[in-house]
Amino acid sequence: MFYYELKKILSRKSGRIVIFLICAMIALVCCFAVHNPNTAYVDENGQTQQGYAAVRKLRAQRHEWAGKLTTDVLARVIEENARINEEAAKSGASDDVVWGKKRAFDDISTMINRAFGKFREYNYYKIDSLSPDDAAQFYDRRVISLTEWLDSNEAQILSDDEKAFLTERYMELETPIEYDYMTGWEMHAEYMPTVTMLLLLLISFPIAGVFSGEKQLKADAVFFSSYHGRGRAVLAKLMAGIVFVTVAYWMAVIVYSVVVLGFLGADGAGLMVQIDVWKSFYNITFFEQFLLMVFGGYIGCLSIALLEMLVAAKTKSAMVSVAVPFVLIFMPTFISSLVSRLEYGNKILGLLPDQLFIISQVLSQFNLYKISSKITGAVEVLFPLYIIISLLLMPTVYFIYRKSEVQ
Amino acid sequence: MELVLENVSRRFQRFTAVDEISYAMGNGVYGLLGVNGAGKTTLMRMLCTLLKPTGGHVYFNGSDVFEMGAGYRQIIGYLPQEFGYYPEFSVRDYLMYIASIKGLDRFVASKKADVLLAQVGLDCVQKKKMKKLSGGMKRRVGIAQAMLNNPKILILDEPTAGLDPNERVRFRNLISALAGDRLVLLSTHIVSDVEYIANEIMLMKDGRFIQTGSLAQITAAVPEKAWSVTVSKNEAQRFLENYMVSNVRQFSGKTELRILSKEKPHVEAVPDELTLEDVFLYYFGEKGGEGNVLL
Repeated sequence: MFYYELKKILSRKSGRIVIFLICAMIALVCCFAVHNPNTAYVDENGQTQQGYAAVRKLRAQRHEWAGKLTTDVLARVIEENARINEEAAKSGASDDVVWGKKRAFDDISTMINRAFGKFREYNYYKIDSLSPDDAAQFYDRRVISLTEWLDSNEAQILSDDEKAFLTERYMELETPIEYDYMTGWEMHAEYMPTVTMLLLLLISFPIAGVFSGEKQLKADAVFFSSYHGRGRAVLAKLMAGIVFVTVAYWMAVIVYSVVVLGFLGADGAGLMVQIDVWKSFYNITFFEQFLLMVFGGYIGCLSIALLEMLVAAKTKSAMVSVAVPFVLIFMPTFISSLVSRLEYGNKILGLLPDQLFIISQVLSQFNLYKISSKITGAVEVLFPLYIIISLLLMPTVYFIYRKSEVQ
Repeated sequence: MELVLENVSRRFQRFTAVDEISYAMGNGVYGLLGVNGAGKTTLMRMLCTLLKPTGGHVYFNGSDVFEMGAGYRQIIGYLPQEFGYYPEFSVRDYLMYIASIKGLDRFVASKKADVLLAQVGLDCVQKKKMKKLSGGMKRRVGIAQAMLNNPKILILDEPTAGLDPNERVRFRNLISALAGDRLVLLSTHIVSDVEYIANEIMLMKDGRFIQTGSLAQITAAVPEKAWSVTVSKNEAQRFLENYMVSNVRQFSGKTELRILSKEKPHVEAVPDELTLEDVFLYYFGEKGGEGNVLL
């Protein structure tokens, strides 16, 4: 039964087209991820190079700055930045040449800009106004700017407990943090939402047919009048849907991850995500962020696919059910400005299923929830919430479909 | 074996499709005859547990079929009026899939599929995709799937609809051959489908059985007689307006009519035996009227 249910999904023209589109989408996103300005190497003449050789040079360049970001290292970055600026002013070197010279430590420069800028601002030239002595304040500035922001009107929606929670999490970050080349993880995280969201939208087409196909093909009468028609055959459908989502998701994500991390390198797995997401209160490593993203995407895909199956089981309409993922993915964008005005608007938006696809963004947001007097971040709520929703949806789909009448 | 309908009704909001039907069936071929919209399909769907009656019960050997659930579905085979299939599946794959949801072991299913494919004359196209089959072939796959579990109750809803005369005869013979030691319930609005093979006939109109029994019993219950008469075209028009006319044949300026009437309608009218078609006309047709015009 299960084999034939899978065959139904894959033998349909839409199923085969979707598989082709998934392959094309992965190929395209991989190209964007490995071939973009962030992965380029800029030589001494300001010429941009791309490709595997360029990535190796960039990697080697950044490895030179690998190690703990102590006050001395940060001071050296500020000094080096000033020296390059001074040299450029004398020689009249082009911006590209200057950029090429700063490329080796521009991750660290970015962190310095964020640390010394205002909480909600990013000043690209902030480092130019700093002296090496300022480096000593680098880690303190992170907590100070948070405290300043928490005292501002903008943060008044947060309770005192929530403010204390954020400050505590900021202080828990072990300093000095380690730095190394981590472009592979950075690019992987940047394009992961594109992969998972497009994947969900694509697989929603064959999934819509799992529980509506019989009605559309007028095969429901034979199906439901058969021995297993209101039992194991329904279970086989559900299993086929889940297996299709699971296999399609993991195949796509594994291929994407292997290509991107294989091409750009997986160095820096153990580094803290604050190197990339400076303001995050989640003190986790890039590898942990990777796990959150891939499992978050899977739970998101699975729960939305199950909801789609539920709608299909109830309405027997592929047209209606296929709209479910589109609504859940795009609706938050349209309603966010409206909902965020409500008292708990951001908290509601922070728990919508689209958040599971943008974990790297969730890590930079301050959506906090109080669960039995304990304050926690959105990530800690999203995972159990949607695992429970998925587990509840499975028997619901089964019981609704098996009770179908053929009129 | 007994399948009993006890005051079975099915309402759809204000519309009553099946209205308190009570009837008992044993082994044999039962023909359910009625015009479109009589409630045949709704009744059959209730017998297949696809629809729950809004009133009454269906019992198989004394047990409510809806309470029996899978146990009852295990002994039925159903060919719906609109036989849906999976277009990308081959004939064999389709049968193997249906066999799996009918709970047949893979090995048994394969053997059974071989036998049935040979029986319905489709063994040579078993690898062909379902979507490539002709209408008649699809109906034959339909009957094969219904027979996969060797059902005690075989329910066929308009199995010959849309088939050409050759296919229809072939299909009728196939049903006769399959009847054997089981209950076959065949619904149709094509009289000849049941005339030759049904042991019992139920005439259904507006959700009720208006007449049941063997062909002889049903024809005997009709108070009219069949008459055959050849008249001029002008005269024929008068008969069409005043009598139930079951057949009109025109030849060399004359018109031969088959008329249902208690009395002899014309001095030259010759009495004939009532057929099921006449019975059908008697119960479901309209009696004459100005609307009946000879073209």
